[in-house]
Amino acid sequence: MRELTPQIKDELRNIIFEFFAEECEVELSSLSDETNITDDLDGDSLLFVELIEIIKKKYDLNIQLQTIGKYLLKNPAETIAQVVDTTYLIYQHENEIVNLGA
Amino acid sequence: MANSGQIKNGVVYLEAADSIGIMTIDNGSQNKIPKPDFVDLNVLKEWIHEQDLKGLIITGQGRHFSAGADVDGIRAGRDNPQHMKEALKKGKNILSYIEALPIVTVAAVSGVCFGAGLEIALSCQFRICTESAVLAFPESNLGIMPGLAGTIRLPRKTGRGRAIEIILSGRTINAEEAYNIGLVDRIVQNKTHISSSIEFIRQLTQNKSNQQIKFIIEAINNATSENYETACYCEGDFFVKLLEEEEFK
Repeated sequence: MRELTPQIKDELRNIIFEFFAEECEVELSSLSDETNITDDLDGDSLLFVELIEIIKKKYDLNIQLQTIGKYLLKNPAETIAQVVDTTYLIYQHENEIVNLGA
Repeated sequence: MANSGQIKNGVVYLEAADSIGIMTIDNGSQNKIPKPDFVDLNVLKEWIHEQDLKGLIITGQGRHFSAGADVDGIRAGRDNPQHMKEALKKGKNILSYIEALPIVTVAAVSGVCFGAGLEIALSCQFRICTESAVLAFPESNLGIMPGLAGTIRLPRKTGRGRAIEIILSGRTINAEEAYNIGLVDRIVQNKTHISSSIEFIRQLTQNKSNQQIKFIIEAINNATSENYETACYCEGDFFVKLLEEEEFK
């Protein structure tokens, strides 16, 4: 399991907020933990695929699309806070995320 | 910019301006491909014939190129394999027609480009994708495989071994890797894929007559579709015909 340091947590959080601001063409300041990806940003689950690809590349993570898909079926990530929490788990557990309890 | 107006057929919009056609996959936020014959081939042929194009861009409406085939539609086709085979054949005919077009063809890819979407993109001569685009053939993770000639066109771009690895694993490929393995030809800034594709076609075709473009691309297509003698004969024939054109200086 990778160590999730406070610095990495900050980095991941910033990447996620900047990603949604750019992709959804909204001001960064208008986003909060409670922002709903679908309802507030007109986003969809495929945005998560793009985001994870960016994080995979930056941190050289071993995580497969179908693994994330299986995890999200049990643990949907609808708000930015949920996306951040899921991304923390992906960073820490990579493909083993699928073995975490719901 | 002269625009010929937009027509919709199947899940695509067709429009043309300044000798460049744009086919936009438009089917919800994910642009799923509901069936292999996603556009009526006769309508597409007639539209292309009417436009006098130098290039064609295929892209997706909104964020994503296409998330691929509608899996529910594929499941529904389980009980009628003959119908599925015929639909796949029609779909392959559409992509073969696009692949053989004697104009510059570019897939302008943003967001997700999966499965059938990637097979459509592979039918183009060039793929221009955004920095955050993600490509994949995820079919094997669903217990199936690509059915619109992905197993044929992917190895031509990446080599056989890498194509087997990509299709069997179903893994995602980011823009940088896609460029490094020859799956895409250019990476551009996010949201500039269509404008970059238009510019790419313009630069490539400027000061070239439609006849020149047609003959050059047909001759190169012949190199893989015809035997050496036929390809050489056609090249000579095209060359002589161009000598008669007023563009020859």
